[in-house]
Formats: sequence, C-alpha cells, structure tokens
Amino acid sequence: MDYFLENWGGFVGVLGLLASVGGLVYALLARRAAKSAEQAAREARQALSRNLSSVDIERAIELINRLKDLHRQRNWSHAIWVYQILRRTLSEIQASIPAELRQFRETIRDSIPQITDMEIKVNRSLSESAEPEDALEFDTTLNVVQQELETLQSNIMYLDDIGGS
Amino acid sequence: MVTMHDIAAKLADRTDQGQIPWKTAVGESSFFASFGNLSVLISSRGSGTDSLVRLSVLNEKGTEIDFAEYDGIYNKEHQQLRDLYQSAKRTALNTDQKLVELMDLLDAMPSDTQAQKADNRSGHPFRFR
Repeated sequence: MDYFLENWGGFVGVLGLLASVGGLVYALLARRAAKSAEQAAREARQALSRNLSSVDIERAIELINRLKDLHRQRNWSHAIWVYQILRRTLSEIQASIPAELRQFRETIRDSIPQITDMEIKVNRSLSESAEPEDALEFDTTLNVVQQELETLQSNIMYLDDIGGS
Repeated sequence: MVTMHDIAAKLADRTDQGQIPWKTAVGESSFFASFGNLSVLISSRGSGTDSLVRLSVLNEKGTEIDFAEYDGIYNKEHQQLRDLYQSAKRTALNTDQKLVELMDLLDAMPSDTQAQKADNRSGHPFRFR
C-alpha cells in the first residue's frame, strides 16, 4: 500500500496509456465497421443498378425484335408507338448503367437519336402515304443497337458473377 | 429566347471549326451529334434547292423538343440548313480525309508519258490497258 501511495503517479500514467490504446483500438474497429457498412451499401446499390439495367435490356431487345417484325409486315403505324417505348427504355438503360461499364453509356445514348430518326421518317411517310425513306436500313441500325445491348448484358452478368463469388 | 435559327448558326460555326462530332444516323442520309443528354439530328431528302432539310433538337429520351424544317421554298434559312447538312455529312463521312487519300492515290499513279517511257525502256511494243 505504501508502495502504491509513493508511486501513484506512475500507476495513473500506465492507466492513462492503457485507456489511450483502448480508445485507439475502438476507433480503428469503429472505422472498419463503418467502412464495411459503406462498402456493403455501395455494392448493394451497384447490384440493384445492374439488376435494373438487365431487366430493361431484356425489354429493349424484345422491343427491337418486335420492331423488326413490324418492319417486315410494313406495319408502320404500329411501329411508331414501339419506337417511342424503345427510346424511353434505352434512356432508362443509359441512366442506370453501372459505373464499371460507363463506356457503354455513350453507345446507348447514341442509339437514341437513331431511333428518333426512324420515327421521323416513318411519321413523314405516313402523312405522305409512301414507304419511309431508308426503310431498308432500319433493321441494320436495330441490329447494331441489339448487338451493343447484348454485349452490355453479358458484361453485367459477368460483373454479377464476380460480385457474387 | 434562343431560336432554331440561332442553334443552326452556332452548329454551323462549331462544325466549321471541327468541334462537332457528327455521326451517321439511319442510312447515311441523316446525321446526329450528342451534347450531354441532348442531341441534334439533321436529315435531308432530295437534292439542290428542292431538298427538304430538317434540324431537330432531342432530349435525353430522344423526344423531338424543337425542330426547323425547310422545303423547296428557297430562303436564307433554307440555305443555312442545307449548308449545315452538307458540313455535318462531310464530318460524319470523313469526306475531307477521304478526298486527300484519293488525291494521294491519283498522284501516285504514273502519268501517261511516264508509263510510255517505262514501256519503251522495257522493250514492249504494246501497252496493255
């Protein structure tokens, strides 16, 4: 007891050091926990984004195939409506492309004015009761867009695979 | 208020400076360029003063939010759009570069007198065409 009373300052110092180390360890653990929570949230957002893109891509490919059928049938008045839906779908895909695949944003964005171009040409032909200008090229353009979408989709599936493993 | 005439004039100016990345749309008779979420689309039907030219501004969904269209009635605005269409086409199809390539190929061909001299040196009495 005498020893303690004589050296209490030293004991207090040791206790202070232990408290500091404990505080530092706690802060490090708290930071790690916050980081992993943040990472989990980011991964969840990315997975959701990929999922949204994937569903929209499938829908866009279906619309493209529908348009090709309508072109074959020369059903221009119906095609007009499908162009509008396809444009909107492509716009949604473009907005939800995950950051890792941002190189596809430009190609998908560039496909939208091309669909509008078809729409304008078909609208004009309907008012003139004639075949749309460049109608033979419509499917060529749609095939290029479809190919881009399929490549994007396979990239998204790959991201999901490596994200899930 | 910004009018389509203002947009066409600015596009023509920037295209002449080589700053607009025009690309082909459907069938190489229409051309577009994108700026952020907006795009412009220019198309032409027919040729000369009878051509119908349309310049459209599209939003992020590809909806045409404004347009200017001129047909056979010749005026200053029609001429402006026709000139812009030609500039967009030259940019998208890389016409200037292709013409330089063609000129280089033509320059590399031996002229008739050079070819004749070469034939005489090789001793062939006839030239095959």
